[in-house]
Amino acid sequence: MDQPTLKTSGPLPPSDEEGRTVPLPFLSGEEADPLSEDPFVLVARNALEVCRWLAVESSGLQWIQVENLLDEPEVWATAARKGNDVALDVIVSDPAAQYAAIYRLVDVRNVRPVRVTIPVVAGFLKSLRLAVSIHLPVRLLPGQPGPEVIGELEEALEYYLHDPMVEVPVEFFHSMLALARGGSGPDLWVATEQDPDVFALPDWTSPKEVGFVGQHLSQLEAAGAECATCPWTVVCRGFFKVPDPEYSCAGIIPLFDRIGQAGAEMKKDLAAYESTKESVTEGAIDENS
Amino acid sequence: MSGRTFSVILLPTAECNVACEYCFEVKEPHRLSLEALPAMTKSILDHMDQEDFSECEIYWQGGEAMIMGPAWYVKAKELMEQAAEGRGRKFIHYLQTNLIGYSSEWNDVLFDMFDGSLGTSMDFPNLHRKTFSGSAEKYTETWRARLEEARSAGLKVGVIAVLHQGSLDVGAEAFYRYYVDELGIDDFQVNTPFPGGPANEAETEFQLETPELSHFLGELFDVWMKEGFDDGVALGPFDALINHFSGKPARLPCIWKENCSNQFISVDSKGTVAQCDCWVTSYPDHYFGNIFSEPDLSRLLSESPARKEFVERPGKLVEDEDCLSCRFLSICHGGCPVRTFTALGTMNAKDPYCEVYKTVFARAEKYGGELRKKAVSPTLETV
Repeated sequence: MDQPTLKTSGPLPPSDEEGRTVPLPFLSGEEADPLSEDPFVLVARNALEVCRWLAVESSGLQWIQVENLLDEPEVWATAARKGNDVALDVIVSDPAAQYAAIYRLVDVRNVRPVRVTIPVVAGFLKSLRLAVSIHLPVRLLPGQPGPEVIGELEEALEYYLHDPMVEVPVEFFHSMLALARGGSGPDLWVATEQDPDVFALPDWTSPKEVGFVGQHLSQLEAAGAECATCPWTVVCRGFFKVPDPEYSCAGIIPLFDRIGQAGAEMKKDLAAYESTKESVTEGAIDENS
Repeated sequence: MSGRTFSVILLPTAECNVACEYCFEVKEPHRLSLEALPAMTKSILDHMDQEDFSECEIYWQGGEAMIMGPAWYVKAKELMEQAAEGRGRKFIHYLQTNLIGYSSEWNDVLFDMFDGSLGTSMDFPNLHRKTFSGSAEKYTETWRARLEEARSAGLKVGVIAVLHQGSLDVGAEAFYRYYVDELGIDDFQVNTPFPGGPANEAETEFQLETPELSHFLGELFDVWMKEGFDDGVALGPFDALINHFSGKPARLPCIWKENCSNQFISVDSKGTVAQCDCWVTSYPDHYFGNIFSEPDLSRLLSESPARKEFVERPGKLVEDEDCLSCRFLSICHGGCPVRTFTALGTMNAKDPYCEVYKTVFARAEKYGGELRKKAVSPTLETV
């Protein structure tokens, strides 16, 4: 499976002239300038806005985050036609109710990259299943999942890990699995695109200041939060302690254990395969010599 | 341009030269004239411009498509090619024929317009494809003679077989051997039947019990994998499924598309537009419109209430049926609307062959997985 990406041009996050990382801005239609060469994400909340930005060529536009428009078929009919090839990140705001509408993205997917972003709330698995069935990459936004959705999250993870019909990346599982099997990849904040050092999100209730994640984690560890001893802190970095630092990770840690176990199994299997292949090849050379 | 392809199942006539018992088409004597073809072509090209399709596949069917005669196709190709080239678009032509009217006079146009290949149909045993005199034997004899002539001329012939009770009775092995060993066919496809159109006596032969049909198809899959797969015999839709499950690009048949409504349409000789040939020949209540009275095909399609039902069908199925929890949703999407409609009187239900498909998918998954394993360890296999 390939890593999901909505980037249409250039490396992200962008850097300023002195090489410092500049968070990628998420701009409304009023704020964004199509002539800008600086990278930005356009946040579109109405049909006219989406249609307008699908018709412009903007070198700065990285992707369009489409919010609350899944129920408007004309948007998707337009997005499936000609225009630019800018990628779309479609937010499924009510995943338990809107899952059937994800079918509207089938034709859009044929002409431009499309990803769906699904908040982890009760019933989210329906939207996840449908998106995967039409081969759309998914970004799950776990927030601070309550006990009522932990079971569904576990089911989603098993689906991602073990159902061979799943052929697209499902974040954050995908990046966490890559790390667990010894690969490189982003931490949970970056994988979910919630790190304010990298993504300057709009209307975000969590902190926006640069350097937030490091400071947040230091504070948690200093306060004796469970992060201090959690084996997954290195990839999680206190993600689930926002906004409520008292949130218990009792349901989350087994989920990461499961990812860790799957990663270890994959690593072992790949090593066994490589060593068998090498020994067979050596044997073949010996026989031929 | 996007590089996307649009498909049109074009029926230049509803007339036919044989009298198959189970045919559900209304055989009205009407032919598409060369005078009307440019207007139809323009509408299709306008739609391609509007929707940014670079190519359009034209599947010529009937009725019986060869009734139009080879000279008609020569002129039709010329008209369509000229119009397409002027707009930077391309038509790709395919022909589906019963082959009964084939003669060597067809060869030039078959090589020039259809790239030297054609599709035909034959069932085994042939009990229901009949000549006007009512003889299935005569039909089979004529068809086999034409098949030989076509192949002798260097034409590549693919065969569609519609399963019926007699096919199940003879069993998968005998069925396979008829096409591959007896006829020497290396490219054929099995279609699940459905009792379309007005009721007739032969329909009972095509209403197959699900467990029996599943068993037959499972066995046919096994026979093909054992005897034909490695020898390059193409057997649809199994071959597409094997490609899918072994990680290769696969073009699954229309019955398993996410939404057939956005992939193709069918147009008959009078300009009637509907979802596919099954709908355009049999179900007037589901027509999308007429391309001659509404030349703006894009508007016709976007404003058609009948088409809206097709567009919305997959979404309705995941809400009302158990498709969402099915692990094969990504390669089925509820199956074929017309099979569902003919069996249940509504298209807003899952395909009545759901359990049959699951059997076939499971078989394909098993064999595809084995091929995938072989592909990642070629060294181990060959040393």
